Amino acid sequence: MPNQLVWLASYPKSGNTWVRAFLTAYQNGPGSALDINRLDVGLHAASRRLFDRVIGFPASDLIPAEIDRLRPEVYRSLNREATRPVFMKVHDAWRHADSGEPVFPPDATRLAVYIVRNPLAVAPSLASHLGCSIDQAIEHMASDAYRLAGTDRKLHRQLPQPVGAWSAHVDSWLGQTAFPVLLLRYEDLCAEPRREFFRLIDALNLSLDERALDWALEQTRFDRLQASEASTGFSERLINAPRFFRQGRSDAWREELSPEQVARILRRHQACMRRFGYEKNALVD
Amino acid sequence: MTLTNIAKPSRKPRFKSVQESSGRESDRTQTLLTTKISDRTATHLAFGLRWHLPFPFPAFPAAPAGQAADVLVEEGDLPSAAGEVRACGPLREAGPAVARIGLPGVARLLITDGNRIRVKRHDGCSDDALNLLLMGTGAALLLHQRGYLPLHGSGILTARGAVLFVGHSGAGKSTTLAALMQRGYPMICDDLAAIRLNDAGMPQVWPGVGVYKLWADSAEALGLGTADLPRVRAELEKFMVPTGANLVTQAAPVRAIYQLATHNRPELSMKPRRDSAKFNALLDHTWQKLTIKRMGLHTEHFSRAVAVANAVRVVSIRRPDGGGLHPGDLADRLEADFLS
Repeated sequence: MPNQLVWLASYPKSGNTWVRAFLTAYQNGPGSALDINRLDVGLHAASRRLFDRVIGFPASDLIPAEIDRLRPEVYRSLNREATRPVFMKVHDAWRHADSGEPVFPPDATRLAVYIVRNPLAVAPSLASHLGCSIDQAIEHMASDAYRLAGTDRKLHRQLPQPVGAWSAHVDSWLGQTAFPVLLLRYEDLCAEPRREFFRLIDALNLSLDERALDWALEQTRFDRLQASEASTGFSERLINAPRFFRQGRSDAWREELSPEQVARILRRHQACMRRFGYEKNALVD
Repeated sequence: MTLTNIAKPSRKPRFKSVQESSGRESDRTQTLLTTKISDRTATHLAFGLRWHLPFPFPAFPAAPAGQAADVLVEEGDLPSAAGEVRACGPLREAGPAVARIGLPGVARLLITDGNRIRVKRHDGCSDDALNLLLMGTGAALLLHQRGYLPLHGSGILTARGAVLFVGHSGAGKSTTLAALMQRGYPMICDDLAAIRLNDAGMPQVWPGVGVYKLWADSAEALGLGTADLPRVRAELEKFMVPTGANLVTQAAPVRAIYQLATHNRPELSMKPRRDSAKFNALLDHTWQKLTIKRMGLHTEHFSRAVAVANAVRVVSIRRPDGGGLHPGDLADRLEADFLS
């Protein structure tokens, strides 16, 4: 039996939900309207509930290093029981536990899909998502210590997720060699969705169904996702965020960031941005 | 000290089959256990059972002297094979009347026949760390074997019976418990609600241990000082709060079960569950759910959950995520509901 876990990895607010929405719509097929509150194509890799259920001991009584040591076992357990690909949303940086073992075990992994987005666009989106200022979001993205669900004074619904700085996150997933990675650029998904989602289907070895592809592209048009959220709400929106599906444009940052903010992001992430053409994008502006 | 009436470990359940299927306490077969006792041993009450432990837990209620233990916990090597067991996830195995769990860095437990837990500590494991495993996961597995319905729930005693709060980690069970204890309600349990059906088939919950766990943010919101409280783990800002005399000592009928969860809306919603939704809430919040089938208790567990669902009001509560609602405000709403 081949490994079944597919990591849908990205820095927060980089298109992960969009890709999961697409895969859900594609797998449900034509005629089945997408329900954004049932993106049941996979699981969240940092789900506390999943961990507790599989491990049988509450993560709330464990320290982060112990949780990291046990997470590979959770994923192996899922892989053993899976009969088809299981998509795992993940915002953690790729890393080893202190035991020396990768947190995301290669022996359970079919593939990782890494979605990268211009950090100039991530910053205002992350700020809106977290309900913080853009400057604070830029600070988070510059910090190697940045964690989701990471404060120690309260229990979070998700497990602690070391995310780190934006460029280190990109490097962690694209630099590891334990399993193959399909790279998707958010900007390419916006510009050429058919071509890019076809690449995804192909890499996942899913059977190609043109009608399902057209259907999924239509169902996951950004304006439709926005309309769905406006009408039914979206369970993944954080309580302080006005909305989850915000703009969906690759260049909206030009209207949202000050020149000083652009310069700060560029200074911190320049080398990594250059790899994806984002540096040129910023300098031209 | 040695207790009399040696009971050999058995691979078969000690409890009558009728008891296994009905979960009624009158059918419980009393078991007397014997072991060599060291100076550190202690006998405590928890979940309606007398636990004979190889180390004391000062915060737990002491059992009356001179009575035989229901559960013997002893330390030592574990046999490599223990009956017909099958894996339930990476750390557990279970079969009829036997369950094993090994938590790296803490200990391995072998739980048999509803009356015996054998413990093999890992190097450096403290009594407190072992306690977390033993009186949570270990106790829940043993309670399944004894015919209980162990729920992830905390609870208080009211004039109308026990009120329980079930939910996944982070749902607010312990915070709600603490807020209601501040209003004078005694605690009946925290995190593990041990429910049994009485002779009339009505659910009763048995008192747990005399501590509850609270995170720093909840303690702060409730104005509880934590400076003198021991931490659950040295690295976590999560504290063990002793109940002192505010722990119920007798089983109480279950009056209502509130299923706590959060949502991303600013308002609190409260909806009574009906029919199968009540039953599903109980299944969803059962401790050690993955092991039930392996232990051969699927039918019995189903029957118990149906009996509880038929007898008890179950209400779904959704509160704003992220601390948008003060625990006292939630306590107001709950109190108004369960007193109505």
